[in-house]
Amino acid sequence: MSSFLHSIWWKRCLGMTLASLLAGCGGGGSSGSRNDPPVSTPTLSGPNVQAVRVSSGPAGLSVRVANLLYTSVKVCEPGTSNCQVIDHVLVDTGSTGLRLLRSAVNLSLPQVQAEGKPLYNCVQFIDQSYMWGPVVSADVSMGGSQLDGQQATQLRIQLAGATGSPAAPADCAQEGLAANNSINDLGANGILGVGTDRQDCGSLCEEVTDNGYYHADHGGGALMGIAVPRTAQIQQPVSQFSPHNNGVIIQLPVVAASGSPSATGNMIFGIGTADNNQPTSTSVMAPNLWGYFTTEFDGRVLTKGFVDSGSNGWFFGTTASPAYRLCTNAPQWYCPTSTQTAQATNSSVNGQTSSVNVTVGNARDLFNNSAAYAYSNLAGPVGDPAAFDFGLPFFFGRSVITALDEANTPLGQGPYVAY
Amino acid sequence: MTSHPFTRWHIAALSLAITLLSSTAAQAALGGAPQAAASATAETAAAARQLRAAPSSQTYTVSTLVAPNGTVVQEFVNTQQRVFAVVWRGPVLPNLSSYFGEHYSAFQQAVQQKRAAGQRGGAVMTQQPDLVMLSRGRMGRFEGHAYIPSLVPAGLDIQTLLP
Repeated sequence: MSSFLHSIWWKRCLGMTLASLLAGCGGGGSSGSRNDPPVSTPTLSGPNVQAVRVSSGPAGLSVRVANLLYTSVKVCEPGTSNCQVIDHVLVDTGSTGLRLLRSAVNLSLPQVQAEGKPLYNCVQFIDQSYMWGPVVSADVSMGGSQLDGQQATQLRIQLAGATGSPAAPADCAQEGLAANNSINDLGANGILGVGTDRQDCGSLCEEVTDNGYYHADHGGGALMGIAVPRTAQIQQPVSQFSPHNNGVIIQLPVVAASGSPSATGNMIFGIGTADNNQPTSTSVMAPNLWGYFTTEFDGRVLTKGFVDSGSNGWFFGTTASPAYRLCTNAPQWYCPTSTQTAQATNSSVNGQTSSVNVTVGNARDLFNNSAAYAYSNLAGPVGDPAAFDFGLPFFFGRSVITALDEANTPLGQGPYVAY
Repeated sequence: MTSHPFTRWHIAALSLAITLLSSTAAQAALGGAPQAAASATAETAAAARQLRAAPSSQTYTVSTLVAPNGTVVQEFVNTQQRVFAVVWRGPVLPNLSSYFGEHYSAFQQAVQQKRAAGQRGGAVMTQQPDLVMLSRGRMGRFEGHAYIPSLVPAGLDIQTLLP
């Protein structure tokens, strides 16, 4: 495609929402004829394994968001066989807990009470968005061909965008943050947070009333902060899947340089707890006090490296490297004039180091492949040179282990990320 | 190794408190003059533990507030008594609109544009002539900063103040 046509494409997309930017603008173009095949890793079987997939997203999604990793979750009313499989739930190693859009759930899930009052939860994500809604109880199962291999009974989860809920409290859902109340907000029917933390809040919410996370309804929508014991907080679901409860392994295939329409892999529960989850990783990156490892990249030392499947690009800072040019009309992404290949060297507080090859394509060209949703070379800036967010592109062609806090594994005690 | 966010922020807040002295600096929105009334309210509010810094240099003073949830916000005030930088760190984002003041719309716009560009995760930032802003972190471990380049005291390397 000529640069002139690129220019037209870009201008057409200016000022439009993501729906038009990526679906409308990218859709129907000749670039869609690249016809890259879907890719997948060999399918594993077992009661502790299920498929994960990068694809075009759930029914009802009218915007195009690339690099979202989806899976399905079976949810039941506690103690009953009234169940529903929720598809296209985002797999997020950067957060903790299962959070579903109320609109995606056709069950009657009882709201959890705290000190005799209905309990609500609010969480903020690193992209300055939030989720707000009631804490409910559900029997949640995953794994195996019928999604009944592992079960977490009476798991506390969140329902977001529930009608009838009090307005979200200002200390969490600030006016300027982005809401995650709908499929188009989220790009998914929910978020499956399988990060290193066992609860979404931890000791803060045990000890502090005005913790920002947990709120009790004192009637008429009058919310007050409430302290909640850790055991009563929203739990990382995998932590309940005994004996496969020490973490999760995510395996994704290599995708084409121009992107693939879908990419299918495995999510395996447990680390070294069965024949199918024996770790082969050689690099174990443990987070420091603030949750980071150190990354050397582009000739500089970045002190804030981390892995997050819920980030849909490589997000890193450069000083003024002309190689990583910002896209002209979408400065959230990099548009290098030619594909950049570089190496990031990670080192963590446990003394281990490892190298990661990073490839950065031109985001405008990549999005022009209208059929593609899985990109291993999509990247954007983070505002300063100190951070490196190894988002979903990092996961392609890898087996990435996320170990829970204080969990014992063959690779040592969590929390860590290994690959 | 513990990873309980509160423990981390608690430690951070305590060590900060130990290093701070009392002074009369006041809380204000970015770019604005200190608001004595707002400060007095904050001083008497039971919910907030307000810590004050002595002038930390001849070119600026620091006002620090630790929220009950452990989030620490520092405001840097120049000799014209205008807040030229805000820095925060903690398990929950502070009330950014109260610290950004009239510059909050730039933050809101950056959040919206990021989403419209099809981005999830990462950080939110703005780099404009009159405002540089970055808000990021891990879930439950947020940090960020905002400053107005034209109000930064001459000779001060702003990078030395940022987390």
